[in-house]
Amino acid sequence: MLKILFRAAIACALIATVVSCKDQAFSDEIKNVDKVSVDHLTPEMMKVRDYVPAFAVMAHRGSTFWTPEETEAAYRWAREMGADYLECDMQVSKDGVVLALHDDNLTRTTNIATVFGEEIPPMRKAYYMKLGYSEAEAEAKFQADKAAFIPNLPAFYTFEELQMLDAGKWFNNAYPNQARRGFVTQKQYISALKDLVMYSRGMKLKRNPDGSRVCAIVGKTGKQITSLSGTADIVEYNLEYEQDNVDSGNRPGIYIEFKEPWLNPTGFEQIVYDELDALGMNIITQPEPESNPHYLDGKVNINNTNGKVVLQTFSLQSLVQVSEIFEGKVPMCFLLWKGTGATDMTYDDPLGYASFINLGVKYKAHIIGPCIAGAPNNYPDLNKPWQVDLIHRAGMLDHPYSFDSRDQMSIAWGDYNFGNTGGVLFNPPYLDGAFTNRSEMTLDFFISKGVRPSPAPQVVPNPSELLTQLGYEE
Amino acid sequence: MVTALLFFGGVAQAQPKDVAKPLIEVGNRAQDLKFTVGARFFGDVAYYHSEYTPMNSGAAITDARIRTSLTYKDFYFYADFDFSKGIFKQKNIFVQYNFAETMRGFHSLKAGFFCEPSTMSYNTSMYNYHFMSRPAVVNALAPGRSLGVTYKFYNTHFFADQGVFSENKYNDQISGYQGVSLSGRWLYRPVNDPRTTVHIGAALRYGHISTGVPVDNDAFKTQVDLGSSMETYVDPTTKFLHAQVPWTKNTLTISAEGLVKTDRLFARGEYIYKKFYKDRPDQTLFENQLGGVWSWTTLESWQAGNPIRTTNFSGGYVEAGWLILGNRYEYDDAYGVLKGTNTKGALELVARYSYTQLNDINKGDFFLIGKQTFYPNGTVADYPPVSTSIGGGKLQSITVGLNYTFNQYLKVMGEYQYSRLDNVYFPMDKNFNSVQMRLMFSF
Repeated sequence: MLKILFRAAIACALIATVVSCKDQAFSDEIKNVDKVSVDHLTPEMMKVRDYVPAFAVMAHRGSTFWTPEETEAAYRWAREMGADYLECDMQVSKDGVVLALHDDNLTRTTNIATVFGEEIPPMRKAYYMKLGYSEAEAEAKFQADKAAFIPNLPAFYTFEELQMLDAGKWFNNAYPNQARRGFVTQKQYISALKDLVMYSRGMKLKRNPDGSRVCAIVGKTGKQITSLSGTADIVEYNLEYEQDNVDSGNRPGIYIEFKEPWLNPTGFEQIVYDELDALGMNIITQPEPESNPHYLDGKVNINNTNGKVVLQTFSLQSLVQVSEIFEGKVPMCFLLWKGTGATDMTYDDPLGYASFINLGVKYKAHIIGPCIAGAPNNYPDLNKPWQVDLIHRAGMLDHPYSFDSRDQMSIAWGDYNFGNTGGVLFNPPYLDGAFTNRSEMTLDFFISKGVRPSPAPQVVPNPSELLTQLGYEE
Repeated sequence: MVTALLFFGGVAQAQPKDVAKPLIEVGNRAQDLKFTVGARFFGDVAYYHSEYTPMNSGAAITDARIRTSLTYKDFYFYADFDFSKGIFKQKNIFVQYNFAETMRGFHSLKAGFFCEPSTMSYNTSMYNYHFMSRPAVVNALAPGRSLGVTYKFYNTHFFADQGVFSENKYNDQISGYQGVSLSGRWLYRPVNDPRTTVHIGAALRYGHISTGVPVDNDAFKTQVDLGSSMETYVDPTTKFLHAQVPWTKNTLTISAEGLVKTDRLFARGEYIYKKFYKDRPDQTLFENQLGGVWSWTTLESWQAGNPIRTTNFSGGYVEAGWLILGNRYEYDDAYGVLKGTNTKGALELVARYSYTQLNDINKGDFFLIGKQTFYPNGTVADYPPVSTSIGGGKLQSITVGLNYTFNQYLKVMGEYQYSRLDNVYFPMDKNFNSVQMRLMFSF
């Protein structure tokens, strides 16, 4: 019996040894992707998702390559180029004007250093008197603002003060190859969200004879906001626009980003909801006929469809708050960045990636916006084929950011697969739209791939000549 | 004159022996001096099946030691050195003084580096353990070897072993006092004869931790890391069952144990509960974070955003064996543990259930694995209050094994194990299966 047991033990050991001799798997990522499950959009969510056209081109901040970002020049150029969306980041001035402004420090993209330095704008007291406060009250408010003042942070400046800054000069210094005198002679302003909407409708700023924009304080609205800079009156401004003489008829939508909530006033998502309502851009209260096409007679027509506004955010907190206010009825993009920051995805393995997708589905996002690799930004790559596969398995769209080169487009399209598919390549193309700083390049790429057929515009203007046509002389 | 002798005989009992009778001893009877040298080897082969995260199947040398001892009059010196996997590891090295036996029992003092008197499991040599690994709960929650001194008393019915230990065996803290622990294990044996033994007992350990690392400029952070492998050694990873308990300053470990042994059967088990008391320099940490736009503005707001609380872990196991062939099971009075099956031809069937709870998660917390972060009350936010949850994992394992002793120097063990894991960091890994075998010898 002992011999039998001994032999059985040796046999078991040999079996265990043999079955354990599988080759070492260096990466189980691909195998694990198949095991990971993601939640799926509901039919109602998919309907909203489809408000957004396929292979949409989002003009990232208008353009960071050709123009000073998020200015009139950038957005007019992007509209005339034929981009589907004018993209912007949203912050709020101290007095409640929703801005299209990326940086939370004004020094990079304005001349604030030479206009205000690091002092509180000296006209602040006069501003309060314009609002109807007595001189004593205005002095008291000025002193209170001064005591709590943090320089260069947009939330500490009124819209009137922000409009005193030049948002175009810096570009000429930073990018001499793309510099144009026209960016200075036509002063470029920090944009309001209302400016962006008006640009998307074929308008431009109405300017005084001296070239400054027509902008005046109307008065207090009677409401207040609480932000980093404290509690302040919401002020109404009279901002005037006129028909753009070079408008060719493109009507792009807007793709607006909620910055992290701590940068913005309490209830910022509701403020934006109301602002879109006031601007006629809220499809929840003012829906467009569902039959309206994305493209009409060779022009972009998204501004006349229910896809006219796409919301976006990196912020987990904002994602939740937007879902509570907009209820998934407006297309929403959940942006992804890899890192260790508060809003970042830290672990981008299949489980970690899927957890962010599931968070997006749970909080009523329709689109995932991952960062892509490649020069000049050299972002982390969160748009790998298996990651895009997970996005598509959730029924979501993939809108990666930000494209600067045709090489990046080719990678995302799967050109370098040279016709191979499946396995680790999954199913190209690895995008459903693109945030781009080079709308001309991305549009041309998509047209060449046949995914923007007529009635979408088939001719892409020369980007440099277009700027000249728009009045921005070299 | 030193005479080399090869003989069999008893020596002063210092710790549970790997072999019942030492093989090689060098003695000098004139000087009442005796030296032994030996070695121990475990070679394991294992095949693992997991659902998502792979484990590394294969074969490994899981234990390789040189063992030495010296007996001089009433002193006993012992040292063994482990170099398995090519890495030197600090193992037992101690001296024990045995007082003259009294009518009441045996008394001894022991000093050096050895297992704290805290659990039945840790005080049993792995060569005699009846299973290929200790239960995970013991690995995770019970103290192992420490530098210290103990006093022990035992007789047929009572056993008391208690001592004081350092918290850091190499005194390599940055500065100041290293910390201390007090451990004790006490047993009562209402029945204890060669055929039958029943013991019940308890253990208590208090640890004061002073060793840590500087963080955030001038704050000093103590932290306890604990974990266990999946009750296996070929793949010794502790990632599935692992917890870090930051700011731990004091720990309290309470254990209860029981053992029943007859000639052919044994059953034993332990329950371990561990509580972690914390202390954090809030004022220093608060002041260090001041100086930016995004700073917390008051100590109270900082504390609200960075709450702290005690942490509790627990676990237990039950082990049983049936000696099919061989002499009877034997009990070691001196250590309060079951001896190994070291007689030629012994064959036993064993089984174990163990559970280890290293999850201390607040009800309602949401865990986002892409950030590996808990969000209190299920509220996703960019800067949520830091959750006090710890998700170290909960493991339940069932093991059945068959052990055969060729002779007292050579044994073979085989086990099948099923484990069920509940760990938020490994949501796809629920079920684990493994088959393991071990060839081990000791002389």
